[in-house]
Amino acid sequence: MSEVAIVVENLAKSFRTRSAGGLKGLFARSATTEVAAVRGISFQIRPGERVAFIGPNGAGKSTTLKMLTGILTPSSGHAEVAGFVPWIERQKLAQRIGILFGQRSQLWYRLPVRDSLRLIARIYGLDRDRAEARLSKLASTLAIGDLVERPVAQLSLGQRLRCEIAAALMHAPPILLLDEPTIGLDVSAKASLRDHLIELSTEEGTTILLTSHDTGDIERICERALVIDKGLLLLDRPLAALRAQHLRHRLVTLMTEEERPALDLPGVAVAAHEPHRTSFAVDLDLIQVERVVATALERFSVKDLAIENPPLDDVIRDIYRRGEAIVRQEVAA
Amino acid sequence: MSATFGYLAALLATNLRAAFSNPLQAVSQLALMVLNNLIFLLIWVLYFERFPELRGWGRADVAMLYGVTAFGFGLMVALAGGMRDLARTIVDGSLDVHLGRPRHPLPSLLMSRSVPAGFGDVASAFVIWLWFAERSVSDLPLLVLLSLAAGAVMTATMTAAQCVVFWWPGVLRLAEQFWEVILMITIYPQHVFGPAIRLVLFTVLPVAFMSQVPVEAIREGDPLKMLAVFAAAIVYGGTAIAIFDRGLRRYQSGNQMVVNR
Repeated sequence: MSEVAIVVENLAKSFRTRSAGGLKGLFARSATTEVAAVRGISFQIRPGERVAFIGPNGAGKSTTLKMLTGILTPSSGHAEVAGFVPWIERQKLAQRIGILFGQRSQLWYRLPVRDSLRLIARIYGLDRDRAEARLSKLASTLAIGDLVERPVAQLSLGQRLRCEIAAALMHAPPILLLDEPTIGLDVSAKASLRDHLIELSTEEGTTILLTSHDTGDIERICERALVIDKGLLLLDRPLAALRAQHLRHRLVTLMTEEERPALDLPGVAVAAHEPHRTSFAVDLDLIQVERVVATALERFSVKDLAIENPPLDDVIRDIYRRGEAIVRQEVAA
Repeated sequence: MSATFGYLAALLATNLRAAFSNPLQAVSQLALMVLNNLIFLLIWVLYFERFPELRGWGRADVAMLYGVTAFGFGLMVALAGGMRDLARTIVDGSLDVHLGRPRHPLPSLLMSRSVPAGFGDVASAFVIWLWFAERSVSDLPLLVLLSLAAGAVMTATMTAAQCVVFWWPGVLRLAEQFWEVILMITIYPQHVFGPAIRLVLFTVLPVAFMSQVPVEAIREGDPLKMLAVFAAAIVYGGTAIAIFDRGLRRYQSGNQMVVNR
């Protein structure tokens, strides 16, 4: 594979929606309205990278993914995935990517999962031996060994989704585009799937671009985040940098002999308290976390302490809230 | 090429397994369709007992026409039952799944489902040809060949008509009902219509090639008419593919939740 798995340059997509009813709405061009779903986004993803595509509903995530798979043709801009222009070389590209849209099914509802997976292997030109070997590996990793003989109609949502993921991975694609891959999965299935995706990426060098509203997916699987809102790319950062830049506070929790320790330092406030256990929110713009810890160790009898990053949810909420300002800041930079 | 045929055969086999996963339901649908066709034919039998002919056509001709339609339509829905859902598949965004595969999406779309009742139509076509149309067994190969071509014209026409939702998604219901209109016209003799309607039936809505021309070809033993039916299958098939490909550029992809059935 080349040095870049996915290149996106000023990609934009507008949809024409009909705003008038009746015959006028059917034929008159003036009765249509142009809605911009994606407004000129650019980014690159290297082979083997695991990237989260984050944004609220209607931000343009799925539309972008669909352009990158060749399902939608962009209004303007350019993109290459695995060296192919998706909307021009869609069929060649399909051999190189695995796609999972959480709300779409590749499986035959009334048939055992194994039948669907075998057909999908055939669609991708896998011979019988390779198909069986791949099916066996996926069955083991996704824990679907006892599910593949059952008709899809008899599976729970979570079980079905694991089988859908197996369908997307049957041809061992080097690039995976996943739209809400863990939606509806239980905790252990989520953890197992996340482990599998990391394993794939590490062992086979699979590039992953995923959208998810579950910050657990993003934190566990991805190393970089693209944040999109209203069709604009707000941020493109490693996850660690995203936290560091967008949440200027840490949570310091102290377990002390003292029932209610007090820290009268600038930028330090009590976030939560119970006897002998107090959490302090530390504003990093006003004080360094090391100074807070040092002061605490000096003043109190500390039995244990923890320094935590705030949840990723808070980071993302903060980015959405400051969306327009961030774009202006990025453009100025 | 052989890989494509292999994949289509595998797709067909999978659909047939899905269609017959509930054998009792599938066989009863099939049997009811045979019964439905025979009852419809009985109405024509009663008609011809009272009136000996319909502008030169007798009971055998009308039965042959009905058999050609039953075979063509039956085989179409049995093998390519996804055709009936094509417009909805385009509008609700289910086309995404087919577009994500390394194949042209149209065959997998059309062959995404098999309707068991279609086999009832095919079975009744043989009964109708041999019994009501009084054809001999030696006529069957030609009847089957022409009916296959007629079925291809039917599939092409219905595919092209449903592709209209790429441009106007609001006409979904109309597009879905179009095949019923087409089917309604094919099962009646079309030589009774005036020249203006016949012009439409030979061009824009090529219903004539779905039943009337194949029957005339056999009645008259006219090789030109036989060739015309095969040529129509190729021309309208190519046109349907071109319209579908053109429509794909306008595909907007929806987000409704759908599962394969």
